[in-house]
Amino acid sequence: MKLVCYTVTGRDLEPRVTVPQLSFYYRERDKDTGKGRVGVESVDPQERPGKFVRSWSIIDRKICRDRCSVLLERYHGLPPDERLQWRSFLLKLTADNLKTARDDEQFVASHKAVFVVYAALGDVCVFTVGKDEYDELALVEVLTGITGAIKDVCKRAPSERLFLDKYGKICLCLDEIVVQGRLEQTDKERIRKLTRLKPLAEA
Amino acid sequence: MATLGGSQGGSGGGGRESVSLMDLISADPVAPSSDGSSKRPPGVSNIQLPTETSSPARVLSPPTVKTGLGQRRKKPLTYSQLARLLSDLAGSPDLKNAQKQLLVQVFPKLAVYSSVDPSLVPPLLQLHELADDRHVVRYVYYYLARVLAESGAHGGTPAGVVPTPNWDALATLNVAGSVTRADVVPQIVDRLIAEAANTDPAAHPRRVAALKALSFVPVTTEEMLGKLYMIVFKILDKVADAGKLRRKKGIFGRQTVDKESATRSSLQYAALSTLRRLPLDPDNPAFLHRAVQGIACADPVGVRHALAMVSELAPGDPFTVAMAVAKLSLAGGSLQEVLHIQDVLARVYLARLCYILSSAEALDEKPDLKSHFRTILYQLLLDPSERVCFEAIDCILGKVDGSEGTEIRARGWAHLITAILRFPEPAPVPNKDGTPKDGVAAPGKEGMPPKVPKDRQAPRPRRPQPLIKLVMRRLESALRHSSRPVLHGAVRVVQEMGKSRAAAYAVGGLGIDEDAHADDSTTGDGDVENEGSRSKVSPLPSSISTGGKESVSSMLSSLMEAVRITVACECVYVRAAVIKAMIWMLAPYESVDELKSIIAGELADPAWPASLLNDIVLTLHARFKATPEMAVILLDISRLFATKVPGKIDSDVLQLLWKTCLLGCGPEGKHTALEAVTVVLDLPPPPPASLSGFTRTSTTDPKSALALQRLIQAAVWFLGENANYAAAEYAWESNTPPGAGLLMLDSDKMVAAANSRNPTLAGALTRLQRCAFSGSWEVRLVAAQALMTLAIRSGEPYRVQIYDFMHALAKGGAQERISDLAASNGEDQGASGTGLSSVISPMLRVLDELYKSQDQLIKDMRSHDNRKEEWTDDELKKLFENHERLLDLVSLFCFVPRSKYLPLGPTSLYLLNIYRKRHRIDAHTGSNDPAVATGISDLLDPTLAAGGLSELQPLYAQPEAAAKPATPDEDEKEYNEYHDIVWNIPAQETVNEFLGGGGTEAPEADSSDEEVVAARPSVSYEEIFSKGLMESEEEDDRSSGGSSPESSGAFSGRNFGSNRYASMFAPSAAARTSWDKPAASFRETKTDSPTAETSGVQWSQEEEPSSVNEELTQNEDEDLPDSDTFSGNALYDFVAGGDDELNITAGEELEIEYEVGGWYFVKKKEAGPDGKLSGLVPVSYVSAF
Repeated sequence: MKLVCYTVTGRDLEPRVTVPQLSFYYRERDKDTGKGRVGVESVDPQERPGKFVRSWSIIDRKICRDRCSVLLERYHGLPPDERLQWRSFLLKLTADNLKTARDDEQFVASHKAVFVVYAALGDVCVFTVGKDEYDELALVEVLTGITGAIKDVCKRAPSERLFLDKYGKICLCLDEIVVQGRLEQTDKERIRKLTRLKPLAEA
Repeated sequence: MATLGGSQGGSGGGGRESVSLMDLISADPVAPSSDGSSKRPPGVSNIQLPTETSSPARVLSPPTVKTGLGQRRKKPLTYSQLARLLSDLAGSPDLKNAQKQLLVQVFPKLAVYSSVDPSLVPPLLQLHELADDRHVVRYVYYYLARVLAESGAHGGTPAGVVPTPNWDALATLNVAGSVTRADVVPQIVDRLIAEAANTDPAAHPRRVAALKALSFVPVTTEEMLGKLYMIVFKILDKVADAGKLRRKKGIFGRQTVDKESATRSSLQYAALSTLRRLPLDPDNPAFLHRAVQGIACADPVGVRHALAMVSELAPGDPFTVAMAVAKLSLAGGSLQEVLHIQDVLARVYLARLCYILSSAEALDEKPDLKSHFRTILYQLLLDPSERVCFEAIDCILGKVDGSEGTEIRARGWAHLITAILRFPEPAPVPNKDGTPKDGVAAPGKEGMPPKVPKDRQAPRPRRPQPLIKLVMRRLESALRHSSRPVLHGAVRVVQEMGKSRAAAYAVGGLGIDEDAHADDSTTGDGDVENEGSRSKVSPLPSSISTGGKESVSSMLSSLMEAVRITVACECVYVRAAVIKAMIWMLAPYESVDELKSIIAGELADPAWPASLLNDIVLTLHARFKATPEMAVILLDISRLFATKVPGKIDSDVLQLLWKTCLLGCGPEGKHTALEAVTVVLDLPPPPPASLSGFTRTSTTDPKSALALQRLIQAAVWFLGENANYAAAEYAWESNTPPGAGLLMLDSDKMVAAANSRNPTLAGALTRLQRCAFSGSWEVRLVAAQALMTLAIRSGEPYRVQIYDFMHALAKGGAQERISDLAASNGEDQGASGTGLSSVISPMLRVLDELYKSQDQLIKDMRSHDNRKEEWTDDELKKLFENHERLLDLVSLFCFVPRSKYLPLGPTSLYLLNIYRKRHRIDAHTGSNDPAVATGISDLLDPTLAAGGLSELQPLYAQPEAAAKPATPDEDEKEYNEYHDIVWNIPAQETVNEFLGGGGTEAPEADSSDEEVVAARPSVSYEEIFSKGLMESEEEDDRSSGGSSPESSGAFSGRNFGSNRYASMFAPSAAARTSWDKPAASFRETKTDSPTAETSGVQWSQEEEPSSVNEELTQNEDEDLPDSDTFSGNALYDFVAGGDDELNITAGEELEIEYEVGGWYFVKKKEAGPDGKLSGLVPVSYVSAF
């Protein structure tokens, strides 16, 4: 599995302050490795008493604007805790530079040996993450496939609403594009046929 | 991110405005609005709620479920309602309406949930059998595949989303009784297998879908695997000869595809695709045969899968694969055809396959075959897709999976710059669409991918050209691309080029002359005629020097110019890649100024995330490893990072770079290397907090100030540890007699003498002295430690110089003791003294002891000389014991080689050797050798002992080694061995991982620069040092107390831990708290000798190593529970209410890992239906045994 994940999120077009929230720093320990970790959570520990193996300390007050919603994501061969980390990494990228991005603009990022290619499409953002043979250019293929399929299903650059309305169909398309962490179909016509259970090679 | 993490279905954190994704989808399915914000569900405020409250189970009271068509549903459906609806509709007599409703209402919404419950399988299978709507059936396959995929990885969702329990499903769902995954999987598999065997042409799309779903079957048994292989091979058997699509004229003259051949080709594709997802079976000739056959498949994706499998098989058995492929490619030209199929990844795998086969040694006897594959590889350089072209370049450079050796990379570079391309005569090859296309087209003027005109005339012959020229053209054109991924990819290829080039330099002897002119026009034409249809590689004649020709170096410099321009890209990741590429392409003899100015400019940009900067520092590591001669240059570059962005880089990684470069830069570079480190000490100190309002924003950032301070501490420690090595000045090699230093107490003379003898060490000393006076208390503390290390390891006059300096420091502290005590936190900024007196006093005490003992020895020797007496055994014993005691003392402060170090001065060696010889004491183990301690060594017969000793020789280092002056090699070795232990810091792991091309783990939860300080797992230096010191003091007490009772009283300063700095590290806390690895390794080396045979200091015998380790592995958080698990029973059912909670049913056996705040973290024996294995449950729900 060399394609790590793909994620579709809402796009934060108008940053808007909703509620100032306290950020809490915590220290926690990995039970297996014994390693300590420091993290940030923006939930008041009062609301979740004693649920974490963590020691809390309030350090920072952050303005939380969190309108970005994860609409769809698939991870391949990643442990659950790393999935969350990847998700927050991706959302941070969105915050940085997708606000003014054009629809056909593709962005690239990397973390160690892992590549991220992402783009905005209407109201949603699509991220693809991969490594080894799925380098940035192969991810472009994946990304193009996914955005093409979304556009195809939604008939235009989707709003979040439209995306959600076509959720089932989009899931079927993505199921054809990426199978078990590998790119499968890229051709729109083939995807269309396969999601409708039509013969592939008919004229 | 918790607000995003905990939503239901796991498909993300709800929708906007705290509405879950499910709510949104269900909100208004019939009349969607294009503008979500204007048609928000009523009653939803903007205020964000914790996600738990937004879960359907809590927000909604379950609405009554009606299964009527056309019913508009405003309220979201819960999972259980969906499940019930599915089951009702599947059994509905009105199938047509039911299918419609399934398509609109059920299936799209079910897709939101992270896992598909096994209880849904019976209705799905029912639908699979009955439904006639293709869309419905497609959904059925989708969900069946998901059920299979989830059963593949129990305990976590495999290819899915962030796992969250379907709490509402579990709470209310009881549609089909207790159905488990184990029950349904065989049912699904049987159904799919039957479907896959269906030969009805009308059902073939379903067959394709069934084959795809089958590839999700968890292959747990050999039997299942065999079954799957059988199905796939059976299909391939029937369709393998499908070959090309047959086309026929349609009714209106349109071309149509022959239906039967189309069916066969898509079946072949489906089978190949399934085969690819099954494990490779290299021992099965049928596997290879079918895969190779697949290359001729009419379906482009099928070809891709076939090529992928063949290229994965090729490294294992290149000869067989090459033979199989050659048969196919030579006869029908299938490989050539792949060049023209649309699928990019297929061509990528082709490039890989061709490289593996063309470079396989097993094929040396078939040069024509090799050159055939190489030709195809070269043709791929002209591919319109950058991905394929870059893959081909990478392959030529010798990089396939990143694990290639230097030799291969070097060969790749040599090949790149010497090869000449002679393209085959282009023969028109019909492509898949039936239109003739040219085999290879010449690159356009701009190096753009060839645009092949449809109606080409007679192909014109191409002139042979150097390979590198083509590569450079492609890269330069890619670097002008506007797409960021292409830029990133191109720059990465340049980076790979740099790596291969560095490898070529490292290997050497390849006779690469980059200044040789690479031009095509002068190469002999004879070869072209002979090898008309093949590319040929021949070495470049280096004698060509006619004007107007391009040399490799000129081409490289123009490429690098293009790379440099790319640094203007607004994407910081591309810029990082550019800098890495430039670091790799830097030649040892080139000027580094330009790169430095680029890096300096980049570092001024605050947008750079810390992780990227650290990546570049790691690249410096990698570059050093490839070309150690560049140590000084690399240090020069690393200096920029240390000075410009001290707050963002990992000081551990930087330290490791200093260390490796110091080791690698050779005797003449050591001074420069040390200078690169000491420059850190000249950085302006972080301003005190009170002044922050008046200084620039960047420097007032407390985190970066803290990071800078840590970096300075690291530099000071580094200086202390390594100055002696860098200056090649060791006490045990010093020629100055020990007393000489004492004669130079005039400080001016001393400094002058020190300077003249060893400017490197003198320079380091001066810097350290400055640090001990200025800077924060933490830095001063480290500086004092460093000075002590220097004092112990250096000969005169450095030792006495430091001794003198420390006296001054201690006095300064003593005068202000009262005010220090009043401050009592030990952290005053030093205005009223250095705050170090109590730290220094034990150091001074040890130095005092050293000097005293040296004096005493001189006196004793003199008196013996005067009296012309031999030394008696008792006197020698006393001397030896004194020597050992001092060694123990000294070892508490820093590492010294016990066999060589002579605390009593070089003159003592002779006497010590007499005693050692007499009692057969090994210089390494000293009196801690059990044989010596128990007196057994004395009982040995001298003759036997001689024999025994010679046998023991390999075990122990030679005792004579102490007498011999150490050769530089030995020094180096010992230093390395020592540092392997000292530097056992986390950075080592990071660097090794980087060098190994690893680094696939997820980024830190919060990897922004602001978190870099807080997120660093390593222990801060003040902790290391304070604790190291504490421990040394305690040990010191014990060891010196053991040897001479009266001396213990003199160490009055040692109780500083409980007294002056009680608030920071009380002894009890220090004893209980354990440290992370760095601290541990540091302490080991600070207080103990690193090797087993030299670790015989008294105190370490008292403390069992295992207990130390246990202590070390404990976490620093004391309130964390210990890891002992115990078992328990669930008393009641508990439904999880959040991500980290766990569903349990009454009576279930659980393993309780720990308790925290009224919750148990428990582990189930088997994962529940939601796939979760462990999580939190309330204490009261579990009875613990």
